Amino acid sequence: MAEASLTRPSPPSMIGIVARKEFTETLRDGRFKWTAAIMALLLLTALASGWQRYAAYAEMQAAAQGTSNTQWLKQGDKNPHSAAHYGNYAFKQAGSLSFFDSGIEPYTGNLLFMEAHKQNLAISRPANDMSAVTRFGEINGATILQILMPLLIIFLGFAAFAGERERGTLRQLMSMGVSRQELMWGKALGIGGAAMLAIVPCLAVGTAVLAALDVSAAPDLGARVGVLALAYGAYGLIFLFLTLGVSALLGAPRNALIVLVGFWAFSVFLAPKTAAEISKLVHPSPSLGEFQAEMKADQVRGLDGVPTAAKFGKYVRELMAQYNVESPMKLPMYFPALRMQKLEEFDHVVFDHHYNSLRDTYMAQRRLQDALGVFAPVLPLTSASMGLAGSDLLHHDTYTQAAESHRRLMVERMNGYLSKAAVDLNGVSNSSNYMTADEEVFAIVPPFAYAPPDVRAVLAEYGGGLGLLFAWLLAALGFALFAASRFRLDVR
Amino acid sequence: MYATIVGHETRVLAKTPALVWVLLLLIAAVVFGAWSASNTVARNSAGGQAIGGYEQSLRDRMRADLAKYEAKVKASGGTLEFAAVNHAPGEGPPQATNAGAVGSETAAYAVLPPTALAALSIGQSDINLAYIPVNMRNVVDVTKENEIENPVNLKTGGFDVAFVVIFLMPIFILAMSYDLLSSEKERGTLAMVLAHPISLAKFMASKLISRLVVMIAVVLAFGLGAVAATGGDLANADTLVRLALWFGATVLYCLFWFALAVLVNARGAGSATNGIVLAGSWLLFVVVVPTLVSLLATTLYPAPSRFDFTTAAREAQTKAEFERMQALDQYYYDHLELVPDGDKKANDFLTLAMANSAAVEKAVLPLYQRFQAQLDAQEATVARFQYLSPAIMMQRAMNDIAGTGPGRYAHFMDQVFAFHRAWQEFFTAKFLKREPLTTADYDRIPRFSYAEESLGAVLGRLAPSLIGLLLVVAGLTTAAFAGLRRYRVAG
Amino acid sequence: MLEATGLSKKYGDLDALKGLNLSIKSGDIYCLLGANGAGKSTTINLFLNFIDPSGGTATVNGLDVTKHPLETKKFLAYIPETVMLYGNLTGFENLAYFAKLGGHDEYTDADLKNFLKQVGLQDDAFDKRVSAYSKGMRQKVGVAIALAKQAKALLLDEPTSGLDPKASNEFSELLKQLQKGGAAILMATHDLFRAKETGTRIGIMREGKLMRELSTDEVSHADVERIYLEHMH
Repeated sequence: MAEASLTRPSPPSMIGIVARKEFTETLRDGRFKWTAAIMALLLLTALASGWQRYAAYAEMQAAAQGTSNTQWLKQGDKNPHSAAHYGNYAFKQAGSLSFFDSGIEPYTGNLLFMEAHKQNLAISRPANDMSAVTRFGEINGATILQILMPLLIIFLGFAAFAGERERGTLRQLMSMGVSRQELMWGKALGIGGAAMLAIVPCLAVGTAVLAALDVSAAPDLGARVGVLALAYGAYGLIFLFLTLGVSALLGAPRNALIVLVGFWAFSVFLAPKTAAEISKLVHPSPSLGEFQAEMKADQVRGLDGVPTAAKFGKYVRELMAQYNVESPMKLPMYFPALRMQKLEEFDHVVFDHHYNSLRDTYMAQRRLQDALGVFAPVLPLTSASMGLAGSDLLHHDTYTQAAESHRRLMVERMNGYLSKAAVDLNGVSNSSNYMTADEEVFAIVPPFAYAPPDVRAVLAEYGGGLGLLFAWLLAALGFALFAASRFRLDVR
Repeated sequence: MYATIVGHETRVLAKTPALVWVLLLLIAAVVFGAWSASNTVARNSAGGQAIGGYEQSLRDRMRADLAKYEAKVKASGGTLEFAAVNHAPGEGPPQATNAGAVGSETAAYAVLPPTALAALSIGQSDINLAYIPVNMRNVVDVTKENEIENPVNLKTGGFDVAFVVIFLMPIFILAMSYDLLSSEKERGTLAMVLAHPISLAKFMASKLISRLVVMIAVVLAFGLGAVAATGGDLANADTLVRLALWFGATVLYCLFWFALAVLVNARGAGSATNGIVLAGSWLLFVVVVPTLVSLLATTLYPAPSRFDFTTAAREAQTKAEFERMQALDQYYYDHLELVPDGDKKANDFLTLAMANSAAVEKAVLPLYQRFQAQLDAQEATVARFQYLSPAIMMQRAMNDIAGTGPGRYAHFMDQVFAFHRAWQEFFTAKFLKREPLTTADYDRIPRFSYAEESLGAVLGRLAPSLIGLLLVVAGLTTAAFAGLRRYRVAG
Repeated sequence: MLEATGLSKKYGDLDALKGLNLSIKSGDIYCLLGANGAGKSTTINLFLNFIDPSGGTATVNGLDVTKHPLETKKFLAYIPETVMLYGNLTGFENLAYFAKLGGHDEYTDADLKNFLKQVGLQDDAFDKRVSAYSKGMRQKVGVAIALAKQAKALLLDEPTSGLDPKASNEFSELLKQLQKGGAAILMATHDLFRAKETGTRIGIMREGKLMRELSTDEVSHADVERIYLEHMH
């Protein structure tokens, strides 16, 4: 751009003149009025319903977590290990911007039972409680911008050059001394500006909603919104430049239209599903049955091939040697509690292995899909948008990991208390099964709470994808400028 | 005359490289769709086999313990004894004799087998668990698990033949017919043709037939081939009927899009305008209306809160534990015939757990049933509004035909609930009477076998969608050809 | 063969054609002259029933075109300013297609090639895609279509505009052949010279009205031009 104006002394206002003409022409077009109105209406519907859902969920989640934390304390006097069996529930927080992009939230479990001996999967997936028609996708701010915005831009811009060429005005325009690059920039500004008009209601509502949000709860909200705006801006510009480039290079408007709509359909509908299938092939993930069967088998046979029973036997023998006793019951500690805690710890290794590998597989699938974004810019955008909205795998993983840490803490503290209390109670007692603990004891386990990852973690995960998106933008810009230097003045 | 134009059109289509590529792409998509969907089907089956096999192996080991114990008892001339439930196995009878332990600690998997056409439409089969672990836990706990899959992929949705048919095929149809008339008019060949003794309607019909034949041949031949190649058994009556329905629904859906293209072309606008109107219509019918209907259904009949449900179940659990003695009394009261002799207050951990579990189930069952009720209400709403979009009608039809929709799953779950009752009755009766299990009893443990729903039931669900599609197509075609009568070739 | 009686066409307030009376017999080449918008193309479109008349009738071989839209087309052949063909198909394939559309599926390949030879299309062009054809070649295929259809009446809408003089001359020769075969020909044109050379009669139109009819054997080239310009003022 800077170079173009250096080499060409024509006044920069040329671009402004072209842009103003394009802007006015687009606004007067009946197609624009219709599509912009429909898009604005859908955006408002989507944001309103998204906000209503988000608010209802957030309230429900906070209430349920509070109730469940109280239920843990008020579960009634019982043996501490029984209390660990009674356990607690971890309820997933809504992403701070999930009213805009609900991401994978309908497809992840949002409550997780934390109990002794078992690491559970998050269950209660909203999609399972919804009609099959929801599989067409959810209408929310993000999907509208991802799917409809490019089409709006294509509709507004496919005839930008091809139409003028067909009408013969392009030849006339060029005879006026406008440079090819100036024409391209002018049209980009004019049509881009008109497209923005359709999105402005969304921005207004978004801002209003943000103002209503409690920003103190999520200090990185501003950064998230800023990066989101940049990403969607880049995405819109990619389609704007591609549209103008294709319109400049292809002869007739109908050809430009069919090529662009074809690319849009490929990019928005075909590519994501294809990328998902490819990622499943490259990084296969187990079904529930396979996952559970493998994990249960490993709990018995040991990950390292040494059966858990043998490991435990060795541990007890070493302990007996250390204290110089012949029977585990003679150890100076409450053996059942020790045994439960030790077996729990052997399981941790197995749980970590299986749950981490499941998580890593999902992450690897998603990263591969982002990388396949070299074919369709919507792929990295979708991922990053979910990440920034707080409704992605990263946020879900933080939640499940927090729940597992809490579960381990809860079990360890209860077993530890049992072990210690039993010794306090009976000296070396083996009949402490009847020992009961009360609310005061249960309170040594803090209430469950967790903090979602902050925007730095999100950017670390999705920085590559965002980089790809901006690479697309540069490529699209390059293509548009190349097309500007090459376009023909006449149809043939 | 028809033959002449159809032949000519086919020749022209064959000589248009872009369309040939589009068709090849469609073929590739159908094959890829059938193949990748069959992977999902296989993945689900493998899951059921893995975990079902694992649980069966646990019971087999218990049965082997029991056989050894029986032999020992027989050799010593004693009687079989009932083992107590405890964590640490020791001397005496094995746990395998304790019906409560066997029924609780192992599960029998109720498996929903895929239909032969499952690969045609993934439907809800990637989120609904096709193998339910049935044991002594209450019905709420038994049904709480979901099939797992990367949520990112669940959001994107599977690439199956239904996706190709519902989403892609219309794009290809519109790509080859958005300029059906407008291009002939723009090229000037329309006037050349209509200077001959042929009517516009007939000319149009012939053009449509050639495209329809190409489209149907590709989708049906390759869809079928792919299903057969990926292991679908196509040779029984049930499958053949489903296949015929799939053919019918697909042809109707094709016709809808062709008729829409004719209707838009009959307005007489240029190719670019037709392209915009048709691309917009596609977006409207395939994306916007379905998502709006989805929003409507889930807003009108939202699922009850699983959170409230869970905390309520907790409340009931705490209450049951507080009142454990009363609960136990209540439980025995309900099963008086089962109270063991001389053991009126069996304060056994397992009995208590089972009693508590039953108490929780009783307390939350009305809430639990509301989930299904709301889901049914959502589906009913969708059924009412499905006529607004052929894509919704088609999705429902495809899922029902492939047996991956909510209807067949509900039919399966009813059988799971019945099986769950049978399982509980079998083990509870023996456990509460403290009757030791024998190896012969192991052979009488209830087994689940899925009874396929009747074709009549499937047809009953399909009928509104298919008839709706038929009526819409008929209406649209009539309107389109009526529109042609007003078409102006010149002036 | 071609007859218009009180034929009119209105577009809103605009009279595109006002009470045209015209009769063209077999063996006639009737040339319609007039400025753009004089109603020449409207007349041809009315005979083709591409547009509905606001008044009067157009008949072909005695049949009203609005009542017998398909039958009348059996007698007609239409050659527009540029004969539009399917670019992806060869000239031969196009001819075969249109011949069949005209109801003649009795032709062998040799017959069809003969038509193409007859109109002077060079042999090596038969199997080339039409997209590579010059305008003159397209017009020849148009005539071949008319020949194959055995049309009794031809409607030509400025068929020689944009043709080079040689191609234009060849085209006129073809018209004369068709005339000898007994066809009635109605040709809209701007080419006064060709009209006098080829036509048997000339009609001069202005603002939808037929102003004057001439017989070409009664006037000279100069007369034609003079009379034409008189009516344009």
